[in-house]
Amino acid sequence: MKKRLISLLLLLMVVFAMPCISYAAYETSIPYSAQGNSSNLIYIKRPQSLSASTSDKSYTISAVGAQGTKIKVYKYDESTGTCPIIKSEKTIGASGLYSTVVDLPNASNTFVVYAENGSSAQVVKIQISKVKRSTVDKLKSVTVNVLNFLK
Amino acid sequence: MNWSRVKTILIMLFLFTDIMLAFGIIMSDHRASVIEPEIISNAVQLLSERGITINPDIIPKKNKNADYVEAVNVISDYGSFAEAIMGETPDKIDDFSYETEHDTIVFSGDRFVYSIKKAALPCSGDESHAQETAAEFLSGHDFNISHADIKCEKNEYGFDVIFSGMSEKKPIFNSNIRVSVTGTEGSSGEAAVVTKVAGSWFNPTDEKGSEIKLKSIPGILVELISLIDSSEKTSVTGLTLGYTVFEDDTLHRSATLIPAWRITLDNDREYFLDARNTD
Amino acid sequence: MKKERIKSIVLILLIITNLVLADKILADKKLWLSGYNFFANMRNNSRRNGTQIAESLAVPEKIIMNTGYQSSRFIYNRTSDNFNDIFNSAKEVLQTAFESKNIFSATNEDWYAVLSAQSLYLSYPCTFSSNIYAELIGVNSGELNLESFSDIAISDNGSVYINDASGIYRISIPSSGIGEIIKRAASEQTDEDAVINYSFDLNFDKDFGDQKTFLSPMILIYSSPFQAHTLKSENPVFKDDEVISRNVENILSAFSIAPNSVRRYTEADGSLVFVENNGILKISPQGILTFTASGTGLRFSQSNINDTYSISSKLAAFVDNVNNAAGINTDMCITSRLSETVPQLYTFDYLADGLPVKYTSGNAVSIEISGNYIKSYRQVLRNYIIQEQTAYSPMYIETLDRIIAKYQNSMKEIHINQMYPSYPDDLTEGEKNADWYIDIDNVLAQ
Repeated sequence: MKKRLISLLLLLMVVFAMPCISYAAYETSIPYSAQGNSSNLIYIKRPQSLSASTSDKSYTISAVGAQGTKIKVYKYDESTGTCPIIKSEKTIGASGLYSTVVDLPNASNTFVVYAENGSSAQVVKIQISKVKRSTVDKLKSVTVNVLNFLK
Repeated sequence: MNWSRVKTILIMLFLFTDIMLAFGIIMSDHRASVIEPEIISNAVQLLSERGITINPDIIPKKNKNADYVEAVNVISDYGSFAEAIMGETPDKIDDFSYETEHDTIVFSGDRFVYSIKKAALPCSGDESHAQETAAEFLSGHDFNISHADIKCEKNEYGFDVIFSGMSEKKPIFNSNIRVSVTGTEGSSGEAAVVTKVAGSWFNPTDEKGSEIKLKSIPGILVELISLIDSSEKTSVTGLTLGYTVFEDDTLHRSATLIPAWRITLDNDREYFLDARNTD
Repeated sequence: MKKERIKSIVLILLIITNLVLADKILADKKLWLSGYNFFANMRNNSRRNGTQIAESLAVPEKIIMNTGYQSSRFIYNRTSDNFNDIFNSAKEVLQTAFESKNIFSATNEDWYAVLSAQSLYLSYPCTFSSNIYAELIGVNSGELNLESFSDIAISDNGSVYINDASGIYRISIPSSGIGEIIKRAASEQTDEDAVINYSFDLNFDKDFGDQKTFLSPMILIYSSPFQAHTLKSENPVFKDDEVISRNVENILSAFSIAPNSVRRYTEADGSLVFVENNGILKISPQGILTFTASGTGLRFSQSNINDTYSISSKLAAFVDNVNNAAGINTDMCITSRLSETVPQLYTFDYLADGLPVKYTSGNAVSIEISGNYIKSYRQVLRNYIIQEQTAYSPMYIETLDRIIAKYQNSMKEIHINQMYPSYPDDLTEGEKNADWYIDIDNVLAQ
């Protein structure tokens, strides 16, 4: 019993320590609870508030960051509780700009953006919900507010 | 329908029109080439009223024809020409002058002046020797002088041999080279050498240019009036049809030579008029 | 019988002789009225296929169809199927709009909202004043008094928006019917096209988040490389070191240079030079044509004209003439500013397979005028032959990073004015592939 408790404790320690130690990892997936040690490596330009609604079948995430920052994007899979990688590593170039198009298969889609530069890492979670097309179509004919709605 | 009769009638008809057409073409051709004496005397009078005298005998009686002549400048670019004529790679002083230890060359448009640095000395060679030396020098440097007109003049130390290019028996006014053959340090007495070459030269190619219609001669004479200042009393001493390159102040690697009339006046002034009929 | 045969032969010979002599008279300038040669004029009127610039001054370079969804935004250029149908429908709407009196001011947000909903966005490579544009589409300009615009958007709710230098204007019209056109064209789209966003969509034009590179709001951002045909660039005057005299002679005629009175030379570098009383025309071995007028210049209009619409139409016709003469089949469009005050400088550029051809410096054609005379004319003479083979461009970000890297050390901020697919041409001959054209507005130093 004691042995089991100790091994479980060790296992838990390892599991919780993992996100804090292995910054160069997350080759194929990232834990949902992963956290970085920096909050200003990248800045998400779209969606500015880190969440948005759309009726489109895809969404473009845009960000800015320093040259050399490496970015990977993962999608949260509700059924397994894991976040497998959906966009392989891209390095930000001299422009400092980054953009990628993600598909929206579910009504609620959560994406994990992981950025690293040297020993710093940043994790940003983005939430995009899908709204029925017909609802949005009615709203689209209102010219002024549409733009804000989609952000 | 009696075809036989129809054919006979048609033959007579076409024969008639053929003769009329042929006659018309021959007559207009003839009319175009010969100048009526009355027109010439009118032109001469017009000129004399403006103080320009001209001997009617030097005016050609028939309108002449000419073709375009395609020609290539002996100078394709200054650097390579300088090297060829100097026999070694020269030092470039600026875009228009080059020199070596022994000689210099200066360019201006299509023209050049080449001279050796050593001072000229008198020589005792004769005219034919000078001519031979000059001809050898030029032909050795790609000047096509096979149809050139050659004249010799005595100069202070020897002879100046003047080559004038010709094409179809008409002078090429821009193909004019003056070669000085004199003695110099190291080659005195009979062994005169080329000490200076000046002018410009275009070698005609075999390309047959198209035929051009030329202005009539009275027309040329009348154009003279606008060129010459009527306050001076001048007289025209020469009227020669030849070829020229008009803008010789820039280098042309090749050019289409234009037929032009060279008009020489008694004060040794020369005018070149485009001979082409631009109608 | 033998006699008949002889008669027949003689008759045939006489007919032939007759034709020969008649031909000598008709073709010989000496015997024909001076200056007029009917047959020569007929020979010169050979038309070429393809759009003539003069007829397509009001045709945009591209039309972007917005459906409200980023995954179905389609770009049509002049060579796309349906481009002409879409433009003609748009033109009808614009004809109504430009005569309308219902004009209101609008904001940037309104403009962006229109592009994010169902609409047609017409993008022009030059700028117009409202009067000139109205004339070009064949209507009288109503109450509009706009100086300089190159972007027009037609929304499906009965409004036309014009993005003018003085602001954004909305013209209300009965109904645009654009919705139907968009539905139909969208349904005919078979490509799984790349997702296309505007820079304002992605907030790349806005300054927050410590951004250093700003992309002008209307720049179209493609999520994947675009595919384009390879071009073969040909010099219509010099081919394999040989001069194509027929094209040269035709070019001389286009500049009213009489073969009888011109003086011809070849310069040291191989350039052909033609000197005439009117001016000097030069064609370099790279195919650069320059005409410099001496004296008043070359008259490009028979009658006296002094408004931009007429002048630009006449100059476009002149360029068409030169292109016809040189055997150039590639499309061209006007790219300079068409303002009410008559401009003295006009530029044109090639459109190969619908995409603009960009040179390291300068335009394909630039013309300087004074009154009704051309003072100088410069053209890169090229024929761009579209090959079967296609190639993918790099990702937009690759080209952008590569260009910005040059300013890397000295810049604090860099503003990109334009970024779009084009064919860059460094004037060497051979194959050309498409790439991104990036125009930097300004760089703020450290």
